[in-house]
Amino acid sequence: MDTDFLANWTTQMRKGLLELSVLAALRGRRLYGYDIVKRLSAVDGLVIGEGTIYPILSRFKKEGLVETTLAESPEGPARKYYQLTARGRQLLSKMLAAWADVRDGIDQVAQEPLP
Amino acid sequence: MTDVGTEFTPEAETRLGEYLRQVREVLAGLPDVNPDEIEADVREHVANELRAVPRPIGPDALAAVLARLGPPDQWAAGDRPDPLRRAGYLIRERVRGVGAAVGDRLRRAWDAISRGPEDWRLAYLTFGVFALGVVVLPIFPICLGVSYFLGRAGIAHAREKGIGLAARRWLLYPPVVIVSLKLFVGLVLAPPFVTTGVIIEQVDQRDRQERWELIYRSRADERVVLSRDFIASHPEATTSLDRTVAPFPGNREVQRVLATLFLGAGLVAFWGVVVGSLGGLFPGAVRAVFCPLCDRFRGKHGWWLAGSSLVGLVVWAGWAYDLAADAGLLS
Repeated sequence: MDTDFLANWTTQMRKGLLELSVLAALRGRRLYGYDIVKRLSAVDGLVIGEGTIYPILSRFKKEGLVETTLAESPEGPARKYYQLTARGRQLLSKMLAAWADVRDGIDQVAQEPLP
Repeated sequence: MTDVGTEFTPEAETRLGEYLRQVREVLAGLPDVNPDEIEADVREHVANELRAVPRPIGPDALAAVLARLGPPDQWAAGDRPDPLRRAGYLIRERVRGVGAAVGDRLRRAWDAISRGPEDWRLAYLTFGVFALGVVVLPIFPICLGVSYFLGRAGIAHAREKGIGLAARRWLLYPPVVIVSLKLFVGLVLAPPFVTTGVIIEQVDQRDRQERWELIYRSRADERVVLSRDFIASHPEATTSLDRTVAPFPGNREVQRVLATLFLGAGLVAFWGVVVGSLGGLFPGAVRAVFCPLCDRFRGKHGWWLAGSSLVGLVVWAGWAYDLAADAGLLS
């Protein structure tokens, strides 16, 4: 029971954080999809399977949070680069603010002296 | 999309294909994602991961990359798949698979006809024309004739190049066999039976005429109808045919049936001599006309048929002489 709950909770938490991380990785720059995956995979505990990032990128693109451009590559075929849209930038700011509030709140609760 | 398929060993390529199939299946139920785009991303990811690996890429190197990508069903964890969307995807995939298979066959057939070697081109053309005739029945005779000559050309071409027909025979043979079978029946089997029928019909007409005159004159009645019962009720009317078939056992009906069979046997033997002799003299013509039914026909086969038929004809002639003598036809 606890194991299932923990697995489900971890999945949901990681999913939300991964979505935030994808948008955060694109802040102020455009990145090749494969590079996004590699950057986020380097963060311990964030990415279980590298493939999970591609559906997130696809969904963000459909929702208008990111847009793609093709650019020539010296190493082979043209590569697809992702960058935030204006809507994506606004949402990222709100999500980072919300995340900071939650993180600060949790830290505050955890640091409160015991009664 | 990065095409890396040709760089893999067959085993690795199969493994990658299976993985991508799982990816499509999992993503099919997810709203707001584009499965085709994600598949392209995954292919690109695999290509980037394996860029430095020596070619061809084996299953072990691929397995490590796929393990890092993770099982596709994990990608949808936490999302709520739409069953209708998923069912629609599965149906589309099935239809697409069938359509692709049919399209592939048609494309290969068209390639064979337009650019392929002559032997396959003729085979496909032959079957195509034949199939068109089967579908559009009013033009079947024309299509059969055209496909017959195309098929014969295809068979001749293969023989000329010394190559076996193999699977092409199923495309070339249908119209050729049908036409050859018709020719065989028409030229070899039918003549003695048709001739027997014609002779019997002629004899029967003359017999009716003779019998009518015999009975009419005795009754002076123009309304005489020569029904079977009427003839049976006038056994006194004996015609030339009755006297001819008299040596055969049984009543008048049985005698006529036996006489017909006897005449047919004689004509079959005679025709066997004729056909066998022609086959013995021109075996190549037999093989050509009745291709592929008589591909193994040789001159000796024709002579065997002619010889055995001649023996049968001699025996028949002797028997016929005896019957004629018994009937008093020789006196």
